[in-house]
Amino acid sequence: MASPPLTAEAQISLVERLRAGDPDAEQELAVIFGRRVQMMLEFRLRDRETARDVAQETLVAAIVALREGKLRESERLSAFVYGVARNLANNFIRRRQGDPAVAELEPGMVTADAEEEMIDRSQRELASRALASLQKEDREVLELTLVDGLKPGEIAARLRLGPDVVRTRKSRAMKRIIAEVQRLSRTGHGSH
Amino acid sequence: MAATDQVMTCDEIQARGIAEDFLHNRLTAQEREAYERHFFDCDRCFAGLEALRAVRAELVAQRSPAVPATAVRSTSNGWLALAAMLVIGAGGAIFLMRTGSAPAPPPVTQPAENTAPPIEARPDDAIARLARFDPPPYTPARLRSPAASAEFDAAMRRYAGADYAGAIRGLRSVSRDPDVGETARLFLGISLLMTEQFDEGVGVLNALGGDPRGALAEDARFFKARGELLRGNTAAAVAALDQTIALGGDREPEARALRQAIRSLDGSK
Repeated sequence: MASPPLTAEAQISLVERLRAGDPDAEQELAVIFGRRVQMMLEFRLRDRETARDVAQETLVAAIVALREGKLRESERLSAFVYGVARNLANNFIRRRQGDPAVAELEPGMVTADAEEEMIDRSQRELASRALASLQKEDREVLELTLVDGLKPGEIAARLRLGPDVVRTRKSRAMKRIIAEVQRLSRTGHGSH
Repeated sequence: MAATDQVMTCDEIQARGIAEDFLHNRLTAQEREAYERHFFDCDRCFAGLEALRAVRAELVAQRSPAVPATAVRSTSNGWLALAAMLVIGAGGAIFLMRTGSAPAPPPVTQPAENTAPPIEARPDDAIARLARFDPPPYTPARLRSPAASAEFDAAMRRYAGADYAGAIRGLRSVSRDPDVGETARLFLGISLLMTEQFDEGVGVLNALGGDPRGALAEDARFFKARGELLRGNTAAAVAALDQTIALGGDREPEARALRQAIRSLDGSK
């Protein structure tokens, strides 16, 4: 069963505070949905820098629209923010495909973003520690799944194992790595 | 029920390995949208996706010569920083994190009206599914001139981290280098496809695959076929696969299988 970031009541309350122009509510919205919007856009746009720009546009557009009362069903806040992000992503993709000047980013626009890099490294650090907790054979299956994109049948053929053995290892590795990353994240063991 | 109203449950996401398919860009447009909708409204599944993505990034980094994560100092969550700086005051002034200026309000379109991008609007979703591919991994060469090496390596680190747009600039810059130019052009073409710049990507790969004696001609032709599929041009994709098969290299079985799959789909229409 899904575990929503906000209850229906909390969504209604947040929308009311946004309508009233409460700056704390705007920050709350960014904290709850910012990473989700960024994740979705990075995979749709295949460009972290652009995704970050469109994510900012998304949050601003959502806040402006919410302040103007454009969301009638306040308990559907998640779906509303998602819809804004999707529409802005689609608009960007159309511009990029139709306008070479947009597709060809100016020099400097795609330079490394130090902060974003650091965030990634922070998350990777957690992942590195979590990986150390896996058994060697589980880690091997996880790597072939996540990095090489192989399905259990393909992994089984490569490692000369039964498909059921691979599925078991994969399931075990997935559950364990996710739980371990989350545990380390909660306890702050990823940072120094 | 409209395709865009497809609903996914946590159990289905776990059982079908949807998060992995999302990371590898293997979901159909409808599946991706259903999954995105779900993780916008499910903390547990979103946390799982973030964890898998971080694990994949670390596994990729451990395969490449990049600096391991544990050697780098970390910082706090960037979205907290954004939240702290994203303030819309009573007067409507908007302060953004990087620009520091007040841009015109973005167009707000009604989310209920789903306007799919061109890649999702193709009539034949089966062809679109065939067109999806994982970008090939890159194995660094041992001997290269140091001049172009740094820029090329930087671009390939971006490529390995799935930052294809970031990789494109560096790959363009070294695409005529005598040592790394040919490899750069291959990964440039693939990166262009990954950023949906299909026409240019196919053009780059076509030029690279033109000379059958080229060391990367087979790869170039094979990924050109993928590019043609992404453009929805199945006839050109089959022709490129024929050219790939004609070289009789390592890609031949994969090219034959893909050609057969395309023909099966064309024949079933």
